[in-house]
Amino acid sequence: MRDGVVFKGSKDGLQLVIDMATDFDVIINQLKSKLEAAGEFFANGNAVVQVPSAKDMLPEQQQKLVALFDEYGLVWQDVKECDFDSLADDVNQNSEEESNTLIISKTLRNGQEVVHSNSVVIIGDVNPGAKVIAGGDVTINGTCRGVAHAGAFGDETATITASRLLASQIRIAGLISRSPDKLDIPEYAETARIRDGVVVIEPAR
Amino acid sequence: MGEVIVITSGKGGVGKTTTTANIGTGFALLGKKVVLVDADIGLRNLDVVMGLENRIVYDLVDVTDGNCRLKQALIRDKRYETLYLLPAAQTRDKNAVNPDQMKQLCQELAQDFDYVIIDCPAGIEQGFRNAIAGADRAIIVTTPEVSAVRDADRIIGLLESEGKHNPKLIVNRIRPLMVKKGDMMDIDDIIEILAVDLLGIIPEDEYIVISTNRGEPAVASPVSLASTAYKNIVGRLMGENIPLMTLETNDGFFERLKRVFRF
Amino acid sequence: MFELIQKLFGKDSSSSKDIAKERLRLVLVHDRVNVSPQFMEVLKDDMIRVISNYMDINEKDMEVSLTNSKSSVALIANIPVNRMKRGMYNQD
Repeated sequence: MRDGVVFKGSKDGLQLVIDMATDFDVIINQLKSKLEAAGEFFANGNAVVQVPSAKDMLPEQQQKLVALFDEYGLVWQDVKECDFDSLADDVNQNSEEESNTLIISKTLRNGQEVVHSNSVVIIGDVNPGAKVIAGGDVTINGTCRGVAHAGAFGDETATITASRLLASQIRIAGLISRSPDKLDIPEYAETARIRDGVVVIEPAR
Repeated sequence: MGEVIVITSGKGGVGKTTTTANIGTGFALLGKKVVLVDADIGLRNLDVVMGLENRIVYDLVDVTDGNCRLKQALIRDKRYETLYLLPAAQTRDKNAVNPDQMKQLCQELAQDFDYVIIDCPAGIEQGFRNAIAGADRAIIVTTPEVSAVRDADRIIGLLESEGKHNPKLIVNRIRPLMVKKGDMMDIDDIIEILAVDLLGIIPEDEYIVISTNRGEPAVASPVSLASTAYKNIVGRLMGENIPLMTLETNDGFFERLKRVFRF
Repeated sequence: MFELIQKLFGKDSSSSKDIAKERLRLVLVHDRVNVSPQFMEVLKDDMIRVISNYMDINEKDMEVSLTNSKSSVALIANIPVNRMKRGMYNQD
């Protein structure tokens, strides 16, 4: 099924791009499940989201959207003038051409968080108590002992890769997995992904 | 201009105050002019560990409130000519002072002293922010326990974001026998996770309890392993290249001798 | 010789725990008084009340404080006396 709803990060901030050709109820449902899967990405209440297509919506459609925003802690921001048409086109493509990957070259320490709408690369460790939350993939060039959440908006094809995957918690889209109790220190890099509805850990390719 | 060093940890009870007292006394034994600052307002302890609790007239908050001059609040330790203490207030709380006041106080102290050593309170709130405000460098104390190391990591992150880079680590209360048996994390494990430079290690030592009972920092007595460890740390802080102590896991001669006399 | 060995291992004539207990006792007396600022006020008022039975005192210039020395805590009161009252000590 085509994605009627996509979050995009841009220099103007976070935008909710809606394919207005899709049935609006379907859009609301897709948005709802993405927001559910995003968990705490929006929980701290300062996710400001623009909705470029709002000007094309009926009042009651916009109201439904606003209600959903309120329910999940999103803050509605009025859109500045920009080129909407090209944005709407992107929704119909696969969204993996995101060039907006965040690269961080340091070790994340206890209490530090990286939150990004697209993919994240950490060159360093992720220590216990640190968190990486990404709309796309999470790649850690180091040891992951903290929490990694990929596909935070519901993208179940997202992956988490680490040189040493010792994460206290792995989350992909809406699925959560704990590290096993008997932890063999892995000798090689591993990737966590969803296969057949469960999170599996495989050697990284 | 002297150096302002803050001794911090995040977790409580890992040995910040003991470390402050011993490093400070260690510097004084070498003739350096040192002032120890107790930043744990409301729960002062550095005075008791130093054995100076009955000499307190004015405290840090009296100074920052302007009730007295800095010189009036400083207590000179009569045992070591060049060692001074600025005690914390006991009846106020951490909000009685702000970071700018602390910064100014540290600058003033650094004019007259070779080393200003600040005993930081546990936690990450106002007390912590006050204590690090005036510091040139930070020393982090941890024990080989999961909770202490996690808290130390948090502190390192906070220090970095406050512009205090490159903190050094002291691992305290190591029990070599437990490390050997694999029941206690060893130094390499801790350094791997925290990724900071190691300043020194201090073995678990019953003598610390005795020295606190007496109010006489252990570093002044020749009898204990902890004393040697602290002396080594002082040396390294002054730029000397002192190798880490090898901690024996079998009983040394003195341990057995002590048992003969039933001490 | 034995005393030398004793000294070598830092064991003094009084055990360190006794030293600790004594220091703690003194420091807590001081801490507890300071924690309740009203304490001194209440104590002062009670003292004024009792002493005023025997003499007229200058309440405004009265000073009461706790001093802390190495081995003791003492309550020091400096109470200016205006005049002695008659009759209180003629109990027959």
